[in-house]
Amino acid sequence: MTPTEAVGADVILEVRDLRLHFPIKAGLLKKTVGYVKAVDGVSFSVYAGETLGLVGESGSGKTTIGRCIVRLYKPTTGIMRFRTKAGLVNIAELDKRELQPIRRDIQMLFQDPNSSLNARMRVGDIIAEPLDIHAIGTAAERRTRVEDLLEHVGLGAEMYNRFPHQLSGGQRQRVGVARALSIEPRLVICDEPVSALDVSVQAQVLNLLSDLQEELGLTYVFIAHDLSVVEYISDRVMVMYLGKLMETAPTRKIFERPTHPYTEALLNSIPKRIRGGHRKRYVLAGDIPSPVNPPSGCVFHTRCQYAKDICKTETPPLQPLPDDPETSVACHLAEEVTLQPYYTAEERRVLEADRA
Amino acid sequence: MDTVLEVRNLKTYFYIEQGVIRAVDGVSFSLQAGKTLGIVGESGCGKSVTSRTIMRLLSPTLARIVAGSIKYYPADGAPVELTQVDPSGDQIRDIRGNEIAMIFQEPMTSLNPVYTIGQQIMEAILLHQDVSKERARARAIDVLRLVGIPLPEQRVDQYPHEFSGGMRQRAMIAMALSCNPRILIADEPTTALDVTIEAQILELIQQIQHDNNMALIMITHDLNVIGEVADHVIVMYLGQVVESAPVDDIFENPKHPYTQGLLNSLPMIGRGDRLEPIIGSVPGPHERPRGCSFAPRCPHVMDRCRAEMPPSFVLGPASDVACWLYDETIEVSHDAN
Repeated sequence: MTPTEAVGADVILEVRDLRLHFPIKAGLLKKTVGYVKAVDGVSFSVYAGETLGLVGESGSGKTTIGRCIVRLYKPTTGIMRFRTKAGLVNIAELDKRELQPIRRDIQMLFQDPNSSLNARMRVGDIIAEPLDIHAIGTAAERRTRVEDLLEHVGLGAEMYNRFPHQLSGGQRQRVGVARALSIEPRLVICDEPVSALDVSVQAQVLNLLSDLQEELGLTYVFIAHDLSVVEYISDRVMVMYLGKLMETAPTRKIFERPTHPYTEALLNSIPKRIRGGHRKRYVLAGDIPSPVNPPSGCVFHTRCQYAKDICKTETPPLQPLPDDPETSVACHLAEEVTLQPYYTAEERRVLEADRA
Repeated sequence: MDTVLEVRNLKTYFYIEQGVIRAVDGVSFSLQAGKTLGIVGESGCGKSVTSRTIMRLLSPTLARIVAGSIKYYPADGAPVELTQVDPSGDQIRDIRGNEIAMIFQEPMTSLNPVYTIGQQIMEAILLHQDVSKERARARAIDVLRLVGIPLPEQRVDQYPHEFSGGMRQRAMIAMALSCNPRILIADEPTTALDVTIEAQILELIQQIQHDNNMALIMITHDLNVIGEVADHVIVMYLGQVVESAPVDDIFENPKHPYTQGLLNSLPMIGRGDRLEPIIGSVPGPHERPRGCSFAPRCPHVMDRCRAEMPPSFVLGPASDVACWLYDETIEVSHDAN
């Protein structure tokens, strides 16, 4: 695809063939001896107003993609076209000064609220900092804005002068949300925003994020390793493995009709409870291989129970299914194998009967 | 059934400058050979302090067992009252790591980076068993093979940094199993791991438990892990057991409002409904509410809850719940022991 090719009007971010290879340096002269291929040729679109879930095991490159989008990292190659008011801009190539206005539109919500908030700053100042950086409003206006935000995320304006250590984990993550939203971004990259929180508090933050999305028309890229959280919050899901995209599809289809063997393995290794007991999980043998020396052909073939000879030599491209353009999959066998969904038809019947 | 461990009304308090922290405040349960007890709760509920009290791993200058008993029943010989043994004496050292072993959450921080995996496993074997170094090394290789580490003859001489996260956790399990313990305490053994590796580790633990008729205490915040492995569950909140019941009752018919809240907070695939979180958050250790400690977050709170701590009400042969909503049944008191 060329940079001039048309991008749908509902697309807020279009990523084409994104690569980020970290050099490995060794020896006295710090010679480059190899590369960690953290993200290795990934293409996808993010639609305005949606939540795009990004899942995969550690080392799959999901966090690296998030950091490329907010340009904490500069991609090695690839195009990331972001829709600004002035039209599409390739943010992969912008320098620091050119990025400044874009940063107002794309914000990041971090995993660990304990380490992403400055312990020496008051809550109000933490939330006001992006407003200061972008020189938005007068001091009085900023104060009002921060108090509004505090109310909005369910903390209350009286928290303005507290320090992060005086807050609970859930409250701190609410401060993180308020900070990310302070300059009214349109796209928020949420990197494991609830995985450090207790179960009861995790649900509060998930609901807060959905409410804010509806109210403010936000677009989320939601990175998480917990598939049940991703299923709850996402409209579409992308499954990553070793720096590559394996499958992307609407959330319901991912769980009801997985088309990549890795998606199948991932789904069936998560716990499942059907009336009267937890079922036994499928155990995917082995560890994720090293991204320095990824397997040839399809990167998943070393752990794939369906792998054939072609999988060892040829890298499958990510392609839409002939009968379903919403689903794209990178697998040579996508049309040959029938994969196990999360719930079998029988289990689904039982669950629906129980719910009724 | 063979009871191997019996904990009654255990209270472990921390005495620090800022005051007293009642980390464990009246915990009771019993554990049978071959069975799994799940202890579930959020941060600060006292689940880890409970396990460290059983192992007598807490510094006596900081943490004090102020009440209760922990009876360990050895395979032969008289029961041992673990609250009474010297925490650095010979008696506990014979039991700890040998008869009662523990797996910790973070394999990164609980393995020593400057010793090989083999040396660390052999240390436990040499401490507890009267065997030669060669025999201990052979045993270390055996247990590494048992936990599914490929090429154990080579891996035994590698350092922790040469192992992946899942491999390190396997090595920890190998170490815990090296002396064939009768009780294994697993404290969040899969929390730091990917779901695929979690499935591998849980399967491994259950298989070894089955082969050795080992009793297992599984401590976790993850209800799904509990659902998979536990026979009986205790739910803890702020140092107290709020509900104790067989695992299916916990999921199908939870009694305590906190247990119900935890289940409603949990995203379940295909459920679709909006999550109903518990309001508020777990109070800090110095902010324990009066009366029932869950009262400020409870949707069914009554005046009585704010004034008086509820006792345990017996609901069935293996079920009890500490909640005033169940006040029509007979009250049981564990303080009698």
